[in-house]
Amino acid sequence: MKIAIKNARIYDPASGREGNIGTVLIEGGRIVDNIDTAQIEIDAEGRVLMAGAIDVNAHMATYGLNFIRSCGLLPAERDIGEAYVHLGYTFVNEAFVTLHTAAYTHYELSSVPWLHTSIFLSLPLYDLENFVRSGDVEKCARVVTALGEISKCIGFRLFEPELYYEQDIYSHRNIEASRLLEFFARVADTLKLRIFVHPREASVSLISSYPESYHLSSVCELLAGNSLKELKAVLDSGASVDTGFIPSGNHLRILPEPQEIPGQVFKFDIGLTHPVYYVLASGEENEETNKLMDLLDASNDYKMAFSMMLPAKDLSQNCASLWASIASRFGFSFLARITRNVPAEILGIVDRGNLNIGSTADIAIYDVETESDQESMKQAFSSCWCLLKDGEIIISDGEIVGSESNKKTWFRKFSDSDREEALKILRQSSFRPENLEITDEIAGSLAEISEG
Amino acid sequence: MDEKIITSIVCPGCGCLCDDIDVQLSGGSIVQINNVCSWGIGRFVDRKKFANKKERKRPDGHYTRINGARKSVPLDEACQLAADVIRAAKRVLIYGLCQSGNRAQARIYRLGKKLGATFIPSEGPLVTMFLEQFKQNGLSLCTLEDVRNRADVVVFWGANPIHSCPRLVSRYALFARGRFTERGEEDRKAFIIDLHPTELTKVCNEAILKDGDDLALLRALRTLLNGEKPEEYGTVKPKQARELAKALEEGLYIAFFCGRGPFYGNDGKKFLKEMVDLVAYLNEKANCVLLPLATDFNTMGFYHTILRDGDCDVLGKSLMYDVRDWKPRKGDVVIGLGSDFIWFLSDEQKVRMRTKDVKVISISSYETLTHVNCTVALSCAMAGIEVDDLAYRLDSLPVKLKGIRKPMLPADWEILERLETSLKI
Repeated sequence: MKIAIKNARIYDPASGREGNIGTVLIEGGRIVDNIDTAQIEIDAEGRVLMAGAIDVNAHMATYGLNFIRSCGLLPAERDIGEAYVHLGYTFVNEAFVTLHTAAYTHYELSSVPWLHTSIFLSLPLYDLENFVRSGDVEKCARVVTALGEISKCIGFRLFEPELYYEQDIYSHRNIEASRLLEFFARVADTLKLRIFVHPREASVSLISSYPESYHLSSVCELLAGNSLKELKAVLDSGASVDTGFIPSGNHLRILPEPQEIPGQVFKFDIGLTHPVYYVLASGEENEETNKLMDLLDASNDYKMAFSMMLPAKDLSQNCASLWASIASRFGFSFLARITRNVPAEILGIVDRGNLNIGSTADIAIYDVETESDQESMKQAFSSCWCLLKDGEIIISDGEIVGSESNKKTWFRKFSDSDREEALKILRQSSFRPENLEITDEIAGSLAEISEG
Repeated sequence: MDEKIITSIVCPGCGCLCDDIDVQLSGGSIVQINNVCSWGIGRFVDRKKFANKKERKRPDGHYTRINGARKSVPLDEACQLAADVIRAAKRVLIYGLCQSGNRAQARIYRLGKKLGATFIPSEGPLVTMFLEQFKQNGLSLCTLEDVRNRADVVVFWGANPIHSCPRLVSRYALFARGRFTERGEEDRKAFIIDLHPTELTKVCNEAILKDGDDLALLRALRTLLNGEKPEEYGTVKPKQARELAKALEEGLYIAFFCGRGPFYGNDGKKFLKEMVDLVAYLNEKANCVLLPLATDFNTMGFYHTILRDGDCDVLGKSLMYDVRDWKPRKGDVVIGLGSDFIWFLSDEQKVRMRTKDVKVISISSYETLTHVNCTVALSCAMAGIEVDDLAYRLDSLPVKLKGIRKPMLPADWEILERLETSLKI
């Protein structure tokens, strides 16, 4: 299909377009610099065009969330998919998965319509402990990549490394968090991938020693404390972060450790250091938004991505409201950067999240102008006027028209892996290793991420 | 003779969904199965559960009834007849749902929603009640992997896994050696609370026999854990209750497996509410999880199908707890999916079914009482034995089911698709 989108005001800092009026040409699902005759012409005059948005860190299909859905606290997967595409998203990464829950998460994600999806694998620290002790970074990296290939992930995550080693009653757990982080920083360097860490306040400064190796996820939660200064130091050092998003009103919240929690508590143990707690919390209007703005304020050149974390009930309205605040305060280019360019860069997806020639034609057009007021911006962001994914029209004139099932589960093919050693780890589990391997039957249509 | 060995098959026998089954085939027939339990053997070679010498009859085609006599019809005609019956219905009920692969569950759920049907999962009396409690009071769950690796206190309450999930005790809950339970049963304290002595009585630390007074025992435990002396223990020996309370107090990771037992009486809901409270209380100082011990192999698959859909209202509106709550009415049509629902009805319900002329459509792999006596019998291949599908383990982890024997009949999900086409909805 050859498509020409004309007269759009284009925002894509990655390709140097900061609001100039122009044309985007599409052929064979990719952005091209020339086509002979367009089969479809879209006149986007008076509208803003950006690349399709990418969420680096969403918890929408992780183990147990369906039970929370039974309480009406979390939208249905279909509703989440719908809200995301209306916001202009084309790609969502679920970052809370273990080896044993990978099949669960992939299968759930395959039910989310329209969106391309991927997962990050939480590294099994118990199983990798011996590598940390021996300091064998190369071997550990090869095992990690083999585990990644089995679970079909695109990256890795360390789940609160500091907590496991705090448990003093186990005398053999004597690896300091600093040593562990130093070791996995070297693993990350070997893999040439940033490892996601969801840090506690105390370890933020530890991570700033390895700015190129780690990515701090959901830092918005840390803002509840007084970590703004530490976070800015981390950003100054060149580390990447994603915000996480705490909506106003009643919402679900993830708590890393037990504390006095009133009301309903949903506790899931999935083999990590400790269980994960989901609680119903309420937030003052604008409270968290203001904190997030404080962080964004100084972030023009930072590697900062906007992420949703736990999609709330009023996902599109809540998020669009925040985007409108961001766009009116920092500009559309900044919004395009934190919701498109940087997320793609963090996930290592070179051909999405930007409008470079040759990139995949994931494009969102909003019926908004730069001088629009915040309310109009909110309306426009909550209901994308036109959305293309892989060059296929998903939303036209605000209505979803694209095929639900035309979506893929993306994974990364790693170059050097030690499958035999990884199988030794998997054999410790009650599952046969071959049954932990993710295939198309579980994940839907699997596709390998292009490394450019 | 063409011989081959297929390894790491998942057994669709029960909610354990053991994935270590190795099968040897000769000329397309199964001649040897390794690692399978007595129940699983029945599944793989069409024998009765726990009575492997008796054959379990399979249907060889699709049937309808003409003037009371059973008549074989082609699949398309059978689907058309079933569609006619459904179109004429005033109310559609769908029973079973837990003994089918997830593909079939997703299709029948979609069909049921279009028809405005009432769903009655065969494991409803247990799992629906759990979900209702979770909705109100939160929950604490884990994977079976965590039970295997960490649980040092295991309590089977009103549940006999040897009869419901035979390999649960060896693979996960009692004898299994996990990361922090290297010595298996020596690293665990196990308790069974039941009406009668069972197979587990001999291997558990304490077998607590009670006479239907689960609530009294639960309250006594809570009082003991508070450091007070209970006023009553019901019919349970005080010493045993104290032993259990002590284990709960000292346990670092406590796993409760709850079967249907405590829910048969009128206090079922009250029991579960207080059970969830107890789990929350124990969670304040240790890890404690509560898992419903569902028997059917894909019970959680159906619940995940409806929960994924975000249809939280379905729990209150179109999900009936127990088939015994059903009062047959004229114009009712029951679709049984992978179930023998007539077997579970009371005599009064069976009489009412006849007098109210309730029509039954059965989709089954076995010649059950329901399949033989229904209005339209749509016979299907077995998921996980003859056709591929997917099922959720009792801890909600999905696994792939692999068809290893050549199917003579279509898959249940194919039949449901044809039925939907015939219904033109």
